[in-house]
Amino acid sequence: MESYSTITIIHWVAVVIYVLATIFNVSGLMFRKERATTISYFLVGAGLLVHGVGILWWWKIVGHGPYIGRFEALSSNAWVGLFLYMVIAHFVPKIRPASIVVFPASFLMIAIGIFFEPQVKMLPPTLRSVWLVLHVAFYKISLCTLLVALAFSIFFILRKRTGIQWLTRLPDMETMDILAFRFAGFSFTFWAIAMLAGSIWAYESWGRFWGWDPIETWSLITWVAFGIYLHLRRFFGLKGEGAAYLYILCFILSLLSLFFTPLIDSSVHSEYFQ
Amino acid sequence: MLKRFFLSRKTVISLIFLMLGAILLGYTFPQRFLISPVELDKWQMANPFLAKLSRWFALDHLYTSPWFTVLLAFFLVSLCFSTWEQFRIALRKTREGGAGGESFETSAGTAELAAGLRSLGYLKVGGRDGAIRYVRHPWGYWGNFLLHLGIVVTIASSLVILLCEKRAVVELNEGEVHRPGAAWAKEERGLLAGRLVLPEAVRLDMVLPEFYDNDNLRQLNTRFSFMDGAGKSTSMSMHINKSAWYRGVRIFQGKSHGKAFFVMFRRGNEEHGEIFHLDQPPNRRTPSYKNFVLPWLPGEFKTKFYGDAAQRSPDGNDPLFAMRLTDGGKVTAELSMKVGETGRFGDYTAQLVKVERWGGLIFIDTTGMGGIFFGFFILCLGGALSYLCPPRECSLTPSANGVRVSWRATRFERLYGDEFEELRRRAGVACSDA
Repeated sequence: MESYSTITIIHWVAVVIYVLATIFNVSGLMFRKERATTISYFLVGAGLLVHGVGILWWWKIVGHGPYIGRFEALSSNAWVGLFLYMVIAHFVPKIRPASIVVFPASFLMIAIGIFFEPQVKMLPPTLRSVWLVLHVAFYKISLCTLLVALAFSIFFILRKRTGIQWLTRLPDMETMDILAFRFAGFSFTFWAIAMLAGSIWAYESWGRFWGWDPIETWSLITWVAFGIYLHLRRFFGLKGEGAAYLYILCFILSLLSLFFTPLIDSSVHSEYFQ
Repeated sequence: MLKRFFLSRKTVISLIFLMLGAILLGYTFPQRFLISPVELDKWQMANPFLAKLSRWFALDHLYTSPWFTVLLAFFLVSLCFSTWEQFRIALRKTREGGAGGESFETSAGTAELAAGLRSLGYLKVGGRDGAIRYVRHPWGYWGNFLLHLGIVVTIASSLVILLCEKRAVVELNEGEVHRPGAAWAKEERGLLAGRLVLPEAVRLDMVLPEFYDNDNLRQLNTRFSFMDGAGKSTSMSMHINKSAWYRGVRIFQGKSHGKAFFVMFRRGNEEHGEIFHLDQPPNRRTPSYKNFVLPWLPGEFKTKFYGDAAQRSPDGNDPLFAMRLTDGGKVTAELSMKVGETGRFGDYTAQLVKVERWGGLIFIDTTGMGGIFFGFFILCLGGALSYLCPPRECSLTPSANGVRVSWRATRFERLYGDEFEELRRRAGVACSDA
């Protein structure tokens, strides 16, 4: 029990660091303070270190990767999302303003995870497969790119609809629109890879590659919805505000698929997120 | 005309929306293959109007309904046309490149510019009318084609499976034999597939579950043997996530396992031997329940069992089996027994003669599974090429002042403006000259 409270404390420390990072980051972007933005990145690095220790410790306690219980799934989603975002932002500086959405989303995920309380869940034999690890990992990667696209879709709408001054310091409207489009394309691809790994895992476990299980079905619905979004953008010239609203709708659908369908329906994924 | 119809953007987007709608309907209406007949009946009673709709439009087996097959066929035809179109576009772009973009003139030499382009990752892909073409990520032209091809291969392979798959489940006690041609506990067949008949008889030798300390299942192992007519047997083993393969049939570990209780009921000269198969209990303190119908015994017959009578383990050597007979909610007979024990059960004397483990084996004879995964792989590759590697084209054309450098990105051009500026810098042209 002592270990659980230590894990919880480590996660709260990570949340505090991420909150501080968000404050520095947002103020840096709003008031054009380079130094504050730089401090926020260092803070996120420190947070990732502390948070990573917490996840690894939890991994050691439960004996499996962080992909079953709500606490561990949300915590690892936050870590993977932030880490990947930092890597991409390093190589593609244009996406850095997306931290205004990615940083708070990460500490919110951890905080919600802590409220569910860490619970030890043993790994069922069906979940012991390298394909499962890939399946879960690619959904986590997809979540990161989804958040970046969400950030630029929101920025686009806000800049168009409001006169908020600091929004003019973000990349121009067309660039934000293209960034949202491109990161939605990444999400579509990573989501597809996650489904592929999942279908191989399902075949190895039950001899079926697809079972129309509720979570599979919602994952497919989300993927098709993203396919429609990309198709409309590519071939029907959809862009700007309309595209941003459609993207937000697809993003909500993806959240439903990732976090809510496991709570509503019983399925072969019933061990996940319960 | 037909080609134009199937390639029309409106047709394509309508078909995608219809597929999305069909999947949503399949989720909303209970599907026969996902729930038990009892549950389906219950739903139909509770929702008479929806049940009527479900019957009219075959919404209770949507994915095998004629209208969904037609929709899928339309979708596939449209995709095939689109794939061919994408192939032609990719081929043309690979050979000729696209039009438009930005350009500048420089006095730098072609060799110097070519070296600069190579260092930026551009590859020489040919030339035309005196111009030399360089492309960064030329394979990116093929992203859309591969994306479409992947979907075609996946859908075509799933159709092959839908038509040809033979799948059957058998549940056997340890030592029990299933002979070729014998009835299955559950069987699914593709529209063109015959019955699944095993090449040889199969015997379940041993079911070996392993548990964690908290009683969760750690692993389920099964040993079984195929036996030919001459009495020669081939022993095999498998567990969850490790299937076996024998003469064209793939064998998977069944999901269910538990214990079979052999009970003898006696009343005077009357004797009834019954075998009750119950699932493994979820943990040592919670029993597993199951109701049975015994034609010779009126009333509701309920059973349960604990994995271990002393509740020291989820799967002990001394399970406790209990039977209860009720009539209109009133208990008329009740008895708990361990193996070898005898007791009174209403008018009968009941004896728990023996207990055996039972387990499930899934047999699958199918083709096309490789196509599904290959199709998915192509699809993912196409997506990655489309969004990660949009090609950037650069052509060097000799001009009066030296060389004209033309540059364009096939997609997301605004994100690659820096690359063009870098080219200008290397060519010794000031950015302000743009």
